[in-house]
Amino acid sequence: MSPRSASVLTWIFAAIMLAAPYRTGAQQDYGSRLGTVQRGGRVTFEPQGPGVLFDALDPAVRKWFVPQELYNEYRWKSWEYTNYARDHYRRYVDIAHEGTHFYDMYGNLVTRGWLIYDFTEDTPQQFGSRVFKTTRYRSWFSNLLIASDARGEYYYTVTIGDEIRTTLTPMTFSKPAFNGIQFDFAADKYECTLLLSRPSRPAFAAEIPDVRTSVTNLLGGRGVVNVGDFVKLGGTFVTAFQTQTLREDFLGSPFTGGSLTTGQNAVQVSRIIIRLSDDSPEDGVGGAALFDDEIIITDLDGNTVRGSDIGFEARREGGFQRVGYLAADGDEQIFLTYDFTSPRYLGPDPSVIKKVSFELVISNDYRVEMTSDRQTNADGQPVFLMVKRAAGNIQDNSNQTILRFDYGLPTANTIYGFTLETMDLMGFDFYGEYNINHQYRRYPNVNREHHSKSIERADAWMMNVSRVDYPWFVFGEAYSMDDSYSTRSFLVGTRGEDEIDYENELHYIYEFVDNNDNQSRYPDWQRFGQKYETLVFPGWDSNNNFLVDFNQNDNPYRPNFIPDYEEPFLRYHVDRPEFLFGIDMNNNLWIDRFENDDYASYPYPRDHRGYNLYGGVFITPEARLTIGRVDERLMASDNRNKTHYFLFTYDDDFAGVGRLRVFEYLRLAKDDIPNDLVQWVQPPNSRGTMQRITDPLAAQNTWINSFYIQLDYREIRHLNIINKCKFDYIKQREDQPDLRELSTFLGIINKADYIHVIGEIEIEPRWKSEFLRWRPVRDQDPARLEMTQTLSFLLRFPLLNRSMIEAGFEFSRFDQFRDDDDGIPLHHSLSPDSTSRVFAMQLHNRSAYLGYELILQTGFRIKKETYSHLPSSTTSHMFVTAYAGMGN
Amino acid sequence: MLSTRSDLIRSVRCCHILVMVVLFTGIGYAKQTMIVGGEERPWQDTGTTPGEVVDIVDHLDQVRTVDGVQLFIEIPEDIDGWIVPLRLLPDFNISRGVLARGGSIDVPNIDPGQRRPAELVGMLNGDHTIAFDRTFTAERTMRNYGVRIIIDLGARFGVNRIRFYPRMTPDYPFHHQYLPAYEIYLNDGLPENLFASGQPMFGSPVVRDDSNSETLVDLSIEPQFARYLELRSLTQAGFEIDQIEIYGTGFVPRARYLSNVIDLGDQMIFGTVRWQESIAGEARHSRVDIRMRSGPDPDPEADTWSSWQLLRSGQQLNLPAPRRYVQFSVDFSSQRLDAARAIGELAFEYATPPVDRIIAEVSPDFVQIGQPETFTYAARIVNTSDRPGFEHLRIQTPARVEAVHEVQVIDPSGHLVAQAVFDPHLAEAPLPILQGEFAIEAVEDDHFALGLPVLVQDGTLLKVVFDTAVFRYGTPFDGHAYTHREAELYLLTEGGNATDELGTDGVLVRVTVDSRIVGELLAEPALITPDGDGINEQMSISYSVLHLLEPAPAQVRIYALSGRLVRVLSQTSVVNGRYVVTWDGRDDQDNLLPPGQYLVQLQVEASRTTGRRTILVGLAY
Repeated sequence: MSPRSASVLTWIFAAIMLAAPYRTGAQQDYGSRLGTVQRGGRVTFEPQGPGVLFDALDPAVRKWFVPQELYNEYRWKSWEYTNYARDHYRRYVDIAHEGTHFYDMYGNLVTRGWLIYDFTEDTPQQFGSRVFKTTRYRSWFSNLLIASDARGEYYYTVTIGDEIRTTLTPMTFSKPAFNGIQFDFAADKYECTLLLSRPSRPAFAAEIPDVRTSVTNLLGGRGVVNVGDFVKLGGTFVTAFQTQTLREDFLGSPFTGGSLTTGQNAVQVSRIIIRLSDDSPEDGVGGAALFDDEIIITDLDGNTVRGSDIGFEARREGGFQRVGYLAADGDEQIFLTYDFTSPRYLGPDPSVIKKVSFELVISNDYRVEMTSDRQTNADGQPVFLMVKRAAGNIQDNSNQTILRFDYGLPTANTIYGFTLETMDLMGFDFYGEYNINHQYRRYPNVNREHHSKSIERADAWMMNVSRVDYPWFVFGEAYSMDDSYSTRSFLVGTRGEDEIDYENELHYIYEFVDNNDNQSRYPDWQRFGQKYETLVFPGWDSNNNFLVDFNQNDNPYRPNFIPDYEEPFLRYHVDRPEFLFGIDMNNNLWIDRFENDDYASYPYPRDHRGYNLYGGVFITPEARLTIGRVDERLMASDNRNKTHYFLFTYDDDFAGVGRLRVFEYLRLAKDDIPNDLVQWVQPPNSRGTMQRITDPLAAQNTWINSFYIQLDYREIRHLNIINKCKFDYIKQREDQPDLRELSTFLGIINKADYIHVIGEIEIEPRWKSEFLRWRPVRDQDPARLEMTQTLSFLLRFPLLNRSMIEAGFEFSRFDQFRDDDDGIPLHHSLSPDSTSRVFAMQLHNRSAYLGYELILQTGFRIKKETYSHLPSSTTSHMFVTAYAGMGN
Repeated sequence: MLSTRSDLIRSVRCCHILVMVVLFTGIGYAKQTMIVGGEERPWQDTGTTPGEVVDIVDHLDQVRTVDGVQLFIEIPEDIDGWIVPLRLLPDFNISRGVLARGGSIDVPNIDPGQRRPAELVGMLNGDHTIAFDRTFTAERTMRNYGVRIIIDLGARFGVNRIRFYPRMTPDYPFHHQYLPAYEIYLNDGLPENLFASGQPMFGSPVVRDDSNSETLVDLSIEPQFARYLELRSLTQAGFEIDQIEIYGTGFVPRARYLSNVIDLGDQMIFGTVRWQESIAGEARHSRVDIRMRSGPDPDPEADTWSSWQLLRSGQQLNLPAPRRYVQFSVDFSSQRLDAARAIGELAFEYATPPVDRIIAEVSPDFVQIGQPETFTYAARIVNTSDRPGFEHLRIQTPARVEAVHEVQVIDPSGHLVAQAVFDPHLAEAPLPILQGEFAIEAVEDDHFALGLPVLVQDGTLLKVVFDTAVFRYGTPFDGHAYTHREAELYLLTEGGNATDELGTDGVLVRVTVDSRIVGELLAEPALITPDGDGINEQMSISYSVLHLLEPAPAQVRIYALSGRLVRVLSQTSVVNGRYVVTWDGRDDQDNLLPPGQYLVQLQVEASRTTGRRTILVGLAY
């Protein structure tokens, strides 16, 4: 080392030595500010508030930077120089700090975590109703939360979900996808359920709560008590009611009929319109007969004034003037308009009207509906809501009455009822249910908090009783449901703040009992806040693959426009729906278990009252005889169904031979109750759609017989022979317009297939013959006499290990016997004689690929159709298709 | 029946001529007839046809099928000028009139910026210079799959053919821009096939072609009612549509003819209305509704106009009168394509009223049902137009009046100027019963008629006191005032304040509303002695039927005390009112019954209930 170098090092050392005391001297005593302040003892998250800390008693002027998160996590002091040369900077991570501390109303720490679901209501304040479903509710929990507990025989569970299968009773509350909260309790002898929901805005998973001032809430419950070993008693209560959180009191409670929403009570009613019409317009006579009308107005002071006293009369429009009364027959309607803004109105100012009542002297087959300028649709057009329908179809004035009702806007719908169930009590099983429905309306007045209330009542009940004392059995059912019985309620503010579109069922109606004829996971109708199905085919999806059994090879990705019973190769196995046999209690010529409609799925239809009683005997275990009678009528009209029936069934499987089925169903029916349907049908060139089917009323005084026999022969291995025959006979005992006096259906299907195996080669010849002789019920539908013969051969042989080649040829001949000498069908809707030849070949490969089963198919199909008087057509189809499956 | 109608119309025409003659002779009051659809007032000048779906034809035999088959068979020979629902001919393009009849065309699912009204309308109006252009250019690509063209035809038609094509003129040679794949949907517009919003529900397509190679698509379809049509593109390729033509067959299922407001020239009263009607197809498959209304001013939408009243041919017009203006509408409807009705001439009678108005009221206006009551009927004359007055008044009553006690005429200053007091035993006196200038001219089951001194002065009050009973709620005591006894048209009294004395201000009498349909059952005398001595040979059994407006079966039966039926005295249909039958003490075999007590039972079977009454009567010798 040179002296010079040594000198430099000396200076540096000296400088360091000098600097050292200085640095030490600059190190201030920050005391507890450096993070040494301790709360003392265990860290607690209880809400205790900050306390007095001994360590913090540090009398200095310097600002306190209380060391918290950054110091605790990283020992980072805000005043300290940061240098990341050696220790790299680390981004903030908050694993230890995820979630939030939540406390209950007693101050208990609930958890450190995440708010998932929150339903609160605070009054009086604006936007006091709040439902909060965070995105975690959907992503972590798939819209379902379950909390439960059990001890001994006691169990309870709270379920919060968007799609809960919930049924209280079939007549009161039954939804395949209830969105709300369900509390269930069960013990050995007791069960109960509570339901809570805000159906007007059930809220969707989001990071902001859904807050509302006016809402529709749902409260429901059911309790069941076992009385002894055989009897169960139950009680049910369901209500959907409107409420608003601006109110301080309990007027909007579920037990007092709800309250008017802010929107309903924003403006006075200035015009009320009553519409009278014919409840059975099809007969064109005996509709509503109006003799007199009177309005009774009560003001805030309780003074009552009658319209006739102050010369305030309704403006009458429509109707036929008869001697002393006004009639609304057929399509005619009578409108009574009470206009409080009219110069002729000299009663209390609309702002001080508390209650408006009406008295109508009315008779015959009337239907009374009512609206006002506050009861409108989205376009501001008045929407009429039902007030009353006359019972039966009286036309001679013998039911003249004074009909009294109040005007009001709907605020709640409530049902309460009880059930009784017995099991094997003296051999009988019994289920009975009685329900009372109250529909609440209130008259709006902005100057009032307490609004006048009116209640419409409707009842519904049912009972089933059965006993089996082999070989005898008996069953009875009785039922009644008023036409005005309602399991629906209006929803408020589904799209805006507090609006109701009284006409819009899709967005402003909540159903206690959904339309779900196929008992699937979604309702059959579109309603606010719930998914729905557009295609419904109850009974026609026997394999539950969500595809109709008559077009199995159809799906949205590969649509198929040909029903399977007409499609080459598939038509061997699939027969037309006309060949189905089943029970038709309502005589609309559709088998009951395949019926679909667009009404709530009650066990018995609305407006019906009646009974069905049958008894029978098992002749052998396979053969059963049943005789019964159904007698029901519509309560709001005089339509009636009175049917006596006889049913014989035989179903036996003979070992080594096959199965024989024989059904005989004979009815004498007097039924003029229309049972219209909405059924899945597949018109030509269509994947199938829902179509409205009108009941032809073909059994108004009619003999109906349906006979079915099927023999499946399977004695010879690989040989299947199926023979079906169905014969329907419908004989009118009176002339019926538009109906044939005698309608028959004779359908015979014979088919056979045999699989012959030669080594690895399979040869399958098939033959099917279908004969149809049909004179439909409606005389406008042409009679049919047709025969189809189909012969096909299928050849299958494997190619290597996972490949197979299938070749098929099908020849089909269709004969139309209802044609003229030139072969032209006698009716334009009948098909002409035709012949089709189809040849198809495909290579089928099934390989494992990336965890999937990859199915690749390639091939072609050529089809030639020839007609006697039309040009022939040749079509071809080529395909290379790959599917990724999960294995069968 | 049709020839009868022709005769009626002919007679109406004759009357018309006669009336004109009478008018020119200066009598001043006469019945006139307005004929719409004739030469004087042809249909085309008298009204309008919303949607232009009503045809006006000279002769009904002109309405034929394409094959020349005459559709209306029974046609009156002397009627020229008919209105009939439009029957679609093969060359009638329904699309052309879509906008005129209130229909529309829209493509709801494309970008609003691409929705050019001129292009949309251009698809309907026959303009081959503009098309709905969905072709691609260098600057423009668009989503074409699923584009929905929805046409509201404005009315329902029986559609059987649809054509659409791109522009194919020399100036616009776009043959290649046809629609290569499409679906067509139809909706009949019936309420059950519409959404609550009024939008049509389209179910399955009536036509689907996903490999169209035709420039001009010309489709024949099964004839069906359609109000809405949707043409849906199934291609992503560019295309254009110049025209969508829609053709149909059969009669349009709904059509309306609305008359202009007809000015009668003065306040008028009305008589009967009649019209000619002819039917194509089965009668039950079509109907026509004719309505009429009246008003005091030319604005039919004013509150002063009456509501529409449905009419039957040959009926008396019950329109508020006198009125100067009238209007009528004709609504056709049919359920089948081949069924329709046609209306020939429509005629109604009218005349100047005897006075301007008659305000009437009756007291009491609330009585016990079925019980005899003394009524006071007051009618005040309003006549500021110097009309000729009336001398004949008919008062409608629910039952035959039992007595007419008194008739008074009081002048405007309240002085009694004329009066007649009649014997209360009306049934025993022959008619007419004269009392000075007054007379009881007729007494029937549903009215009585008075002869009066000519009442002409404005403010004159007429008071009539009589006895009758009321059998249903809302029984009107209408008064019909005739200029003279032979006059055919009358002025109907109006309910109102005729005099402050009564205070009921109306002619409607109300009763207690209840469910009884059978009132009193009385036997007079209660004991008869049918021994041929002329005294008490027969029993008069009277009963009241309450409320019923339509005939209901009624039976009066005589039972022995043992319960054995001995005589069915009466088996008839009854409505509300009083009925009398007699019993001579004989059974059904015409044998005199043994003396003793018998039960008389009345049974009325109404729709809702069956009413029964039983009394005990005696038979002695």
